[in-house]
Amino acid sequence: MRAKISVRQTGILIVLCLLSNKLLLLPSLMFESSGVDSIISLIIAFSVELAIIPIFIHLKTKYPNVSFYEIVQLHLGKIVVKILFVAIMLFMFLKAILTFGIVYAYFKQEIYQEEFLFLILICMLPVLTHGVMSGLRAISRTMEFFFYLLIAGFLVCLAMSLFTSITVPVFFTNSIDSIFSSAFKYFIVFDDFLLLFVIMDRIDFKKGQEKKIYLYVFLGIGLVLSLFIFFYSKYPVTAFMHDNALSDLLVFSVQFSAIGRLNIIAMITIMLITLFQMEIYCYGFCQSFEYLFPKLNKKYAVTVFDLFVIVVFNLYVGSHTDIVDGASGWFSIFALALGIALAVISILLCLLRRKDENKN
Amino acid sequence: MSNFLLQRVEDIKQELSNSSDMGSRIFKKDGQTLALLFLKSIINQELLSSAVYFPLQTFEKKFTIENINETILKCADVQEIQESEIINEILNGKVIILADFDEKVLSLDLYQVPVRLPSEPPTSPVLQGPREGFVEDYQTNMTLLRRRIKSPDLVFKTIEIGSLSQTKVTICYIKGIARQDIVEKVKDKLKRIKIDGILDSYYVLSFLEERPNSLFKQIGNSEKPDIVSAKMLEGKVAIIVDNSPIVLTVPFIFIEDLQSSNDYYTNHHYSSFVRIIRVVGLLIAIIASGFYISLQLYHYNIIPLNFLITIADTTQGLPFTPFLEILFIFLLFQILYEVSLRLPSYLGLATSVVGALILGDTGVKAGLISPPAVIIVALSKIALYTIPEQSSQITVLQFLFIIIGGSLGLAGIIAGMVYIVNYLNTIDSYGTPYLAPYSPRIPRDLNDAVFASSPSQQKYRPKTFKTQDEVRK
Repeated sequence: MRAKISVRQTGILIVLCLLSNKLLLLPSLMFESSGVDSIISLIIAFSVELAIIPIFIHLKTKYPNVSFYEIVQLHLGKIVVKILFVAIMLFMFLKAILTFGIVYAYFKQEIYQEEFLFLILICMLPVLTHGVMSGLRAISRTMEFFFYLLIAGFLVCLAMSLFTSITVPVFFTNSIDSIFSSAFKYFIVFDDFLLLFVIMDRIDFKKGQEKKIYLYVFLGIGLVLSLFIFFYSKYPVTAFMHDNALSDLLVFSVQFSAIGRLNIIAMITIMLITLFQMEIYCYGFCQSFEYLFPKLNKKYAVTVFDLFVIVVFNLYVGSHTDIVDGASGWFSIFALALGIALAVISILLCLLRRKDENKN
Repeated sequence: MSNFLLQRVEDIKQELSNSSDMGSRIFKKDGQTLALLFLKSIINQELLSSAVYFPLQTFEKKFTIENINETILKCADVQEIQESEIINEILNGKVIILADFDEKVLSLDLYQVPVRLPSEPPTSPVLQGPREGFVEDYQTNMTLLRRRIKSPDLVFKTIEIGSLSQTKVTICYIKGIARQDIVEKVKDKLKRIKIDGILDSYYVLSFLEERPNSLFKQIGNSEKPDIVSAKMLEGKVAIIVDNSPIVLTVPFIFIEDLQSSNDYYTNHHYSSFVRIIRVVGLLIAIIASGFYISLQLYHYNIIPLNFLITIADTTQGLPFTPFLEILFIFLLFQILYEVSLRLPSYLGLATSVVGALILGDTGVKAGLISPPAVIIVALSKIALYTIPEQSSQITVLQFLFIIIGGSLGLAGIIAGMVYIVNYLNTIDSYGTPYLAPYSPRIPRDLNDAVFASSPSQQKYRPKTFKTQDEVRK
């Protein structure tokens, strides 16, 4: 039997997924669409993606030790499961590339003043490869090890923003249309709970532990919301100019020049969060790959991922426009469709299970 | 008959290569002959002459094995052994008694080798608390443990390892506390050792490690019986190796080396403070040099302005890049360290003076190296010894992080840290996660991890080791 991860570790994975792609570019992008009302857009987007959590918990309770792949294959057939997991694999890859792209732009701008694509690939890929090869348990333990450090770094960034003049955001200055469109325009950035379906059989979940899961979900949502609130309070008019939200929270605080360049705290926090998110998506990609190609082991999966990342990163990612285009448009529609498809399939599987139970 | 006995004695001597420390003595009385065989170098010769020779010379009754056993040899353990065991018994410090009137062979335990008295080990001095340390004799070490745990559940199981050295290796554990599967696993691993000689516990260590090629320490070691006793009370299994004052313990977790015996003999608040300092020291030791290079090479914009001006002032006109400069000083420190270890103490002191004052000071004055670089490397080298038990692996990590910091910058250092923690999370020491109780988090055990607690607060044994009996009663 493969090693399982605890509910706490699953919760930490959820928090890290929830933070993904939302700490740097997203606040300024959403501000462009719906101003300070982006906070409401964010709440709407979270509410939509949150709907999948009770469905997942219900499914997990019904099928405690079976993988999602096996359940779908059993009830809906081989073709459906293959299509579904190809989509999930693609989604994981897109999220990884997006994360990579955003952080690459941030690091290029803030730390490494020159071109350093090769450098960041050398930093990231060995860690991802090793993480995937060592398995989900090792990855989640590593995240558990750094979790408090991450949260502390994140909270310091938020706290430091209080040392400048802040303005209380005024809501509902934009139309409902723009608020809703802003919520779904960048939906690829959301859909954070898809990974749970990929690792469903690896979670050591017992009935009654739902509260713990929800606690971490709300912690993650709370952190993202506070970042948005602090960021818009600090830059109520010029938020669209600040592409690196978490880092820019520190830049104009009084302590920034008094103590030293405080954005090193943000750099370390962002780097750690990015590495973990990349590990999660890489793992999700490789696990889906293993389901689709059972004869090929993890080594092949991770090699394919590394090669894809190198190729796509060299050809595509790098500029701000590329990232924005990538985050919106078809990718977001794809993410939304995938989320809905998973929810529908999960509900269907729960109903089928109930029907089986009633028969027995 | 007598000639046959003499021939047997000669044969045994031959089998032991006629070693110059081979001793034998023949006693004759009323046509009966007794032969004594032993190795002079490893027996108590005084006891042999007073308690064996003398009674045998003045023996008035008829020589029979029973008479000899009952009346004469009261001085030590006497056993009747098989013919095939004779060589092995002689090699283990026994005196063998052969007779021409009986086929029985007696073995008399007069084993004695020079033994050092327990003293304070140089590697773990304490301000308060017991100063006794283990010695090279395994029996004395067992005594030191037995003195501390007077329980019928304290178990010692001795086996011999090494085809030539036949070293005694003893597994110690407390029945009912230590996990039986760990005990069995240790026994199994020890039995499977195929080697000609075990000269120290470090020989055994490499066979006990779950990942023998790993850089990181996976087996605990201590020279102090109080520490080993405490570990056994936590459910660990100890391994005593004859001829070594270092006792090994399994399972081992990383946090153990952050804890010192001093912590348990001082106020626990102070101990917590000291442990935090050790953690900081560990971080400084590993990344300070690499971090300094990465700041200088890639991220000078995040160095506070005043510090940046100081660095710029001192590094102006240096012939080396920051990376080569730190690497040069690091290697210089390492060479001086190796030299001072190998030289006699009086010369070692002179080398330190030459290294620290002449090379360091003159290097700075000559404009070859900068003072901040010397300070950074010196700081990381001193910080290394906040956890002396891990100094060898941390030195390797220091070197790696200098290279990473110099080539990849801050992102590389963070990635390196994540990589290492990820790697450590893949290590399980006898079923115990290496980074427990932090990952996986075991809340109950956190009260004696980085933060210390007093013995009165430690009501349970660490959950990390999944002991049979969890309550300290």
